[in-house]
Amino acid sequence: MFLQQLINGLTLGGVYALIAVGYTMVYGVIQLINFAHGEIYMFGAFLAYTFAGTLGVPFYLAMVLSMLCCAGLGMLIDLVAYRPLRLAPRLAALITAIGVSLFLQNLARILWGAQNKPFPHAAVPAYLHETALRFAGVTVSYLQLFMFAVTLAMMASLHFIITRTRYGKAMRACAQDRVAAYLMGIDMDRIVTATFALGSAMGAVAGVLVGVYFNVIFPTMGYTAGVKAFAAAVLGGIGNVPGAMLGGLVLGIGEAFGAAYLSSLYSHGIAYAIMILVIVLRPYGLLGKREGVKS
Amino acid sequence: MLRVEQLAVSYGIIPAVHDVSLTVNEKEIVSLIGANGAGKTTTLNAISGVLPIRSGRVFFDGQELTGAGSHRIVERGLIQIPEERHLFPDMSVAENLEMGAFSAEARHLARRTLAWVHELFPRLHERRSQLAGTLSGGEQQMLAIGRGLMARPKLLMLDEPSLGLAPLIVDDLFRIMVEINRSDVAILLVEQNAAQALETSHRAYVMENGRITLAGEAQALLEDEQVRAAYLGI
Ligand SMILES: Nc1ncnc2c1ncn2[C@@H]1O[C@H](COP(=O)(O)OP(=O)(O)O)[C@@H](O)[C@H]1O
Ligand SMILES: [Mg+2]
Repeated sequence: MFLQQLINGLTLGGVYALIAVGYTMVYGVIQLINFAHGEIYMFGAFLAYTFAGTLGVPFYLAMVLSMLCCAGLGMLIDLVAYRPLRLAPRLAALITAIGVSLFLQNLARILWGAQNKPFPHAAVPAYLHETALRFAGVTVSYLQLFMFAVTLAMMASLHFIITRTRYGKAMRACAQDRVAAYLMGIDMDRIVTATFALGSAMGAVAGVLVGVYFNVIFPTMGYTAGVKAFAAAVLGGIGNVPGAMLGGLVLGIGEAFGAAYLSSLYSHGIAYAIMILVIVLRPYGLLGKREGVKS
Repeated sequence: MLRVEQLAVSYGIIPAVHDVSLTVNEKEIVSLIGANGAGKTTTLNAISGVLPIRSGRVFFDGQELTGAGSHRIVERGLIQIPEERHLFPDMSVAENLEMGAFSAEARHLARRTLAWVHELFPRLHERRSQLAGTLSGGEQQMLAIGRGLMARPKLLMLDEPSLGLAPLIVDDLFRIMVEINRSDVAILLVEQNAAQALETSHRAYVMENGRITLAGEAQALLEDEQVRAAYLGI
C-alpha cells in the first residue's frame, strides 16, 4: 500500500513538476504568473488526441507534434497578449493572463466540444496499459514507466538547456538581474519567447501523459492541473526551476497519500493546504531565497 | 567617438537631466564628476538605452544611437558597467563573463578576450567557478569590469567603480583602468572620488543639478578654485 502510493504519487508528481517549471520559468524572467499555462497543458492533450485519434498519426509522433504546436502557441500568446503590456503595471498582464486562459478554454469547447472525451484506445499503444512490474503487492504499468522516463528525460533536457546553452544561461541572467542582462545586450524579447516555448512544450507533454493516464480529457482540465502545478511552483519557491521540480514531486506524493490514508475527497484539497502552509511558514518556498522577488 | 547633444531625461514628469552635451574622443579617459543626485547615473543610463531619452541625440562611432535597443548599442561597442555592479549573483564568475560576450561578434572573440581579462584580473581566473554573489566587494567590481570587457568595448562607461572599496583596492582599480585605456578603449568615468578621477583623466565634465556646469582639461579642473572647494575638499 505504502509503496504503491509512493509510486502513484511520483507518477503524478512528475507531471505536476513538468507543468510547474513552465510557471516558474516565465515568472523568473518576467514576473508574470501565466494563468493560461494550464490551458497550454489542456491543448497539449487535445492536440495529441486530434493527431493520434483523428488523423491516425502514431502516438509518440503525435506527442512530439503536440509539443511543437504548443511551443508555438505559447510564443504566440506571449507575442499577442503579454508583450504589448511588458512596461504596463503587473496587474494588467495578470488580468490579461486570466482572459487568455478563458479564451483558450472556450476555443477548446468550440474545437472539440464541451464533453469529457476518452483518449481513443486505438490511438495509444495497447501495451502501455499493461502491467510491467509486479512485486511486493505493487503493480506498475508500462504507462507509468513511460511517464517516469519522459519526465526524467524532459527534466534532464531542461537542466542541460538552462545550465549549458547560451540561451538557457541568458534566461537565468534575465531572471537574476534584468538591468544587467539588458546592459550586456541580451535581447530580452527573444529570451522571453524562448522561455515561453520551452515551458509550453513541457506543459504539453504533461497534458498528453495525464490524458492517457486518466483516459479522459476536457476543456477545463487545465484549471485544476494549473492550480496544482502553480502550488507546486510556489512550494518550491517561485522562479526557482529545481524548486518547481521538487515541489511537483512533493505535491504528487502528498496527494497520493492524502487520498489513500485520509479520503480521496481530500486529494484536491491537499494542493491548497500545501500552498497555504507554504505562504504562512516559508513564503519564499523550499528552495527559494529569503529575499524573494527582486524589483 | 561618443557625442551626446542636448540630452534631456526625466523620471515621469520630473526632469532629472537637462541639456547635457558631451563628447568622448578615441583613446580618451573622460570623467564626469558631481555630487550625489547630480544626474550622472541618469545620463549614463540614457546613453546606454536603459532610460528613455526625452530629447537630444546620441551619436557613437559615426552612427546615431538615440533610442536604439541595448543589443544594438552593445554590438557597436558602447558598454556600461553599472553603479553597484549588477552581477548575476547565482551564476559563477565564468558564466558572468560568458554573458558579457553575448553578442555575436564578442562571442567569436570570447576566448581571446577571456585570456586578456584573466591577465588583467588574475583573481577572476582563480575564482572562476565561485558564485558571483559570494565574491568580496573588490572582486565583484573586477568581475563587473571583466564582464563589460568581454563585450569588446570601444568605449567603456564606468559608474562609480570605486564605491565602497578600500583605498588600496581603489588604487588598483585606477591602475587597471589606465591599462585598459592603453589597449585603445576609451573610458567615460563617473566618480565621486573626484581627485583620483581627475588625476587619471584627460578631460572632465562637472555636473550640478542635472546640468553640465564646467568642462575642460582634467589638469585645469584640478587647479580650478571652484572645483577644489566643491569636490576636492581643499
Ligand atoms: N528611478 C528614479 N525615479 C525617480 N527619480 C530618480 C530615479 N533615479 C534617480 N532619480 C533622481 O534623479 C536625479 C539624478 O539622480 P542620479 O542620476 O542617480 O544622480 P547621480 O548618479 O549623479 O548621483 C536625483 O534627483 C534623483 O533623485
Ligand atoms: Mg549615480
